[in-house]
Amino acid sequence: MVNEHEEDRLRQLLRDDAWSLPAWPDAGVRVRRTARRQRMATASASVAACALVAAAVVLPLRLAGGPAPGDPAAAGSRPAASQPATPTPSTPPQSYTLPPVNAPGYPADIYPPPQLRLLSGTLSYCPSGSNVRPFSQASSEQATGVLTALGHSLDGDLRLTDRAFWPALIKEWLGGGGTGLSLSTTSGQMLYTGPLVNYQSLNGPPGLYGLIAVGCGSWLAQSTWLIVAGPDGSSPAALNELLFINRGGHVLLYYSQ
Amino acid sequence: MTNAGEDSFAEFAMDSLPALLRFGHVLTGSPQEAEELVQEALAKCLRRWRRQAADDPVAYVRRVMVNAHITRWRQWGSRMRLEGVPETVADDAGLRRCEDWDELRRALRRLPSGQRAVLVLRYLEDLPDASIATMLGCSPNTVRSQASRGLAALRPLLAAGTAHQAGLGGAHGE
Repeated sequence: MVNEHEEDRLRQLLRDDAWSLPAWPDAGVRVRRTARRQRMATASASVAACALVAAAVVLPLRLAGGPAPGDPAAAGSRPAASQPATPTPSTPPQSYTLPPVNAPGYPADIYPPPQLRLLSGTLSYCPSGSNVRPFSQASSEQATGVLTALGHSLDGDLRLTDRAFWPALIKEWLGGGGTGLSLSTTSGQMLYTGPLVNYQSLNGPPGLYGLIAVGCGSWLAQSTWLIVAGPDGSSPAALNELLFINRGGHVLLYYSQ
Repeated sequence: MTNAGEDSFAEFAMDSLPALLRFGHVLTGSPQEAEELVQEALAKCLRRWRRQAADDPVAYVRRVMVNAHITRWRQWGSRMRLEGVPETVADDAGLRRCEDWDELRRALRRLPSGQRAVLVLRYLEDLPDASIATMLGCSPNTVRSQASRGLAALRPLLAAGTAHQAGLGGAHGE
C-alpha cells in the first residue's frame, strides 16, 4: 500500500541539496577523452570478436586429428579424415588440417606459434615477437610480392602468412568458395605502402596503429609494414588494409581488414 | 563534426552537467561512481551527437546512465547488500536531516538497481510510469511493482523520517 506521506518524504530526501556535486571545469576535455577511449574499446572488441570466430573455426580443426609435429604428411593442406580424399573442383573442401609447429616447410623460427591474448574479455591471436626484423627496401618489395602471390592455393597462402592470421585465412578458404584471399584483399590499386607508424587514414580516424599497439604491443605496431589497397577514390570503409611483419627475412601477412 | 556541432554539444554538456551529476549521485549513492557514469554517458552522447543530434539529449543521457548502472550493479552490486542496517539516534534537526539523507543514500544503495532506478525516475525526475517503462525496457506493471517493493524496503526509514517531521520523533533508531 503506497502512503502519500512516505512518497512525499522520499521526494524531499531525493531533492536534498546534499546530492549536488560540483561541476567539472574541464568537462569538454574529459568527455572527449572518454569518447576516444570508447571508440578504441569498440574497435578492439570488433577485432577480438572476429578473432574468436576464426579461432572457433581453427581449434576444432586441430582437435579433429592434426598430425604430430614432424609428420611429413603434415605439410600443406589436405582433407580431414572424414572428408573425401580428393575434393572436386566445384565443391571446396569443408575442412583442413593445419601444419603443426615445426612441420616440414614451416620452420618454427619463421612460423612460430602465435600468442593468445585476452582482449576485452575474448581470446585472440597476435604474431609471436621472435625473430622479427625491421623492414628494408628489399623486404618492402617482398610485401608487395606477397599480395600478388596470395590466393592461388591454401598451402601457398599458409606460407605467405603468419600463424596468427591462419584462423582468418582458413575462414576465407572455407567460407569464400575456396577462393582464399585473392578476391577480397588484392583487388584495386595500392594506395599506400609504408610503415604503419606513418600511416594516416585517408578520411577516417588513424586508429589502426593504436589498435595493434594496444592489442598486441607497441613493438609490433612499430615493426609493421602496411599496404592499403582498393579502388581509387573509394571510401575508407571499402579499402583493404594489410599488415605485414618481417620475420627472419620472410615477409608474412598477419592481419587484413 | 563541425565547430557549430562541437559548440552546441559543449553548451549542452555545461548546462546539463549539474543535473546529471545530481541524478547520477542519487542513482549510485556514490560521488565517484556518479562522475564516472556521467562521463561515460556524455561521451556516448557526443558520439551520437556527431552522427545526428538527439531529439532529447538529456533523456538519452539519463537512459544511458540508468542502463549502464544496472549493468554494473549486476556485476558488482551483491557486495553492497552485505552492509549492515544503519542505526542512528539524533535530536538536532540539521544533524538529523544530514543523517536522514545519509541513511537514505545507504538504503538506496542496498536496493536492487532496478528498484532504485524506478524510485529515482519516479520521485526525483517525476516521470510517469509509462516513460520509465520505455526507458528501462519493461512494462508499466513491472515499474509499479518495482516501485512498490522499493518503497516497502525504505518504509522504516521513511516512516521514521515522517514521524520526525511531524514532531513525533524519537521512534527511529531506538
